[in-house]
Amino acid sequence: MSIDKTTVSYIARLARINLEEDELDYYSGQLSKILNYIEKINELDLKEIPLSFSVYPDVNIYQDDEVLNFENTQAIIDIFPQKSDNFIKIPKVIE
Amino acid sequence: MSLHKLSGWQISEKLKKKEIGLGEVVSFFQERVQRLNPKIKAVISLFDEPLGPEKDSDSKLWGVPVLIKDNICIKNKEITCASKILKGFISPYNATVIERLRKAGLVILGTANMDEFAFGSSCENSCYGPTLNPWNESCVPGGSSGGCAAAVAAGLVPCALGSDTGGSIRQPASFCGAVGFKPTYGRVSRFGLVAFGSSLDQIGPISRDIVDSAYLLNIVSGKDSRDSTSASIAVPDFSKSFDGSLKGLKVGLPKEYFVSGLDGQVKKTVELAISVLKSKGIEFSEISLPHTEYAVPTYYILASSEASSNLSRFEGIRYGKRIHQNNLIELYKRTRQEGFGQEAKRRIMLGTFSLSSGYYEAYYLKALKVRWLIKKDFDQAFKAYDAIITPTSPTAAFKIGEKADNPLSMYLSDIYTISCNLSGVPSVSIPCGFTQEGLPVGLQLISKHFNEEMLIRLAHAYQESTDWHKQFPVNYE
Repeated sequence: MSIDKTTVSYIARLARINLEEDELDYYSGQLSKILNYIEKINELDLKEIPLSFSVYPDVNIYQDDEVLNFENTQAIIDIFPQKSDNFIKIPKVIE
Repeated sequence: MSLHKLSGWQISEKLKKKEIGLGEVVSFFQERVQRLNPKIKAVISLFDEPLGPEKDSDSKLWGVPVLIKDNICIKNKEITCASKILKGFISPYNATVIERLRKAGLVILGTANMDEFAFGSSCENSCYGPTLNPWNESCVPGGSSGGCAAAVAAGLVPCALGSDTGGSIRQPASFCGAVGFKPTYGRVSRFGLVAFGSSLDQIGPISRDIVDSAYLLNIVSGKDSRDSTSASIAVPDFSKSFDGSLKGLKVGLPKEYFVSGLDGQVKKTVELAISVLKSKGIEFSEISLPHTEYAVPTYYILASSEASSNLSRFEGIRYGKRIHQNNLIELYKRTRQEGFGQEAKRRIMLGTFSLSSGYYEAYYLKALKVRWLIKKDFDQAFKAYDAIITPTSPTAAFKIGEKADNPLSMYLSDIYTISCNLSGVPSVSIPCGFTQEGLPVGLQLISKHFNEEMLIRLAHAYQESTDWHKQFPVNYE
């Protein structure tokens, strides 16, 4: 299928990426080409094929619910792009 | 002194015999990086103070300098995945593989260039600019672990750790004449690896010979409680596979890999390598992996879907780049617009599309079913064969810029490596010759899950009777 500019714009909104007008054109062309190629899988009859989310043995892996201390918390705080004391600062979200 | 032509294990032996000091080894390689890296741009960051051994260990690679792909976290070092969006991210912790390397006493010299977030097959999609191939500086080193492979090939370090989601260790190793090993999915912990495609990613070694790769694999392998997908399967001593007869082994040559699209010179080189192995008593037969042609489309749906989900964490809130805005959604959108490069945006959007309501069944769910068929092909083949041998990539290294505007043709350079990630099996690329233009060619060996020993046995025997792995690019002598 081909992806028009409106669809690109919709996907970009879902993906939280701002795109300029010329980029909408660019990605519309590129994604359409890629999708046309990808649609090769439609040649296969998949009706009888089981749906499995993993090709690895499906085993649930449990571990003890144990609290472990992380020693280097200051290093996490140090890399906040914007902060106030030990808090991350973000734009106001409540009117 | 030509330490740069030695393998890591040989350097470590010299250190243990006190023929040379650790300080001398480290400054030798630091000097090579400083002098030669401006030419090939394989290294992103050379640490002022390398992370050396904390104590003695009996590791076969004690004291050996290594580089780490820029998507594996090293505590207190800037890790960027070659993306603007992570500029300034100083990792608060070590990846498990880093802890294991340090415990074994290897010396971490710095970080290596890559395609942004490992999206690419040429190392051109890096915010630091492309890495060049030391065998021909107008060619790409392959990708995405192109910095690691070029650095090893140029003798900037004896070995490196990369990551492989669709061929990102093996294809650049092939383009640069190095050994590149993708272990079985689950063999190595990914804790601290920046996730791209979580059902596909594996960390693995790049080195000049198979011996270093085997030793490195022993160091980094094994269960880790911080990565629940790491397998609780015992890790064998891989060096025990250096000996062993190949007589009577059965190896399959998938006919779907030797078709049009495979470069004539690569084909000829690979056939010669096969004849070397044949002379050691291996029985070769043509086999079929019938769903091979669907591997690339399947991969691009699944890998992009997983990537779009994994990369949603880069939003400018907690770390990395932030474009300040008065509105939170605008902050996300502008940060991601400025922070991600073109290929990253393309993959995120392709993945978002495949997972979006209305298209999820037609793309993502279908691709999961095809993945299952591709894995069945391998299961079937390994019932009758000990290994599968193929070229690593359909061509030798291509020119810088040649495929930059054609993502599809770029994706196809991973056509022979991708199936292994989709089915989770281990595979290794080893150097097996050169084209007339002097570009390296790689031979890919594949075995069933958790049988890396078979690959090491085959690669070691091949290496014993050839000297391709000892060749060195002339400008880097």
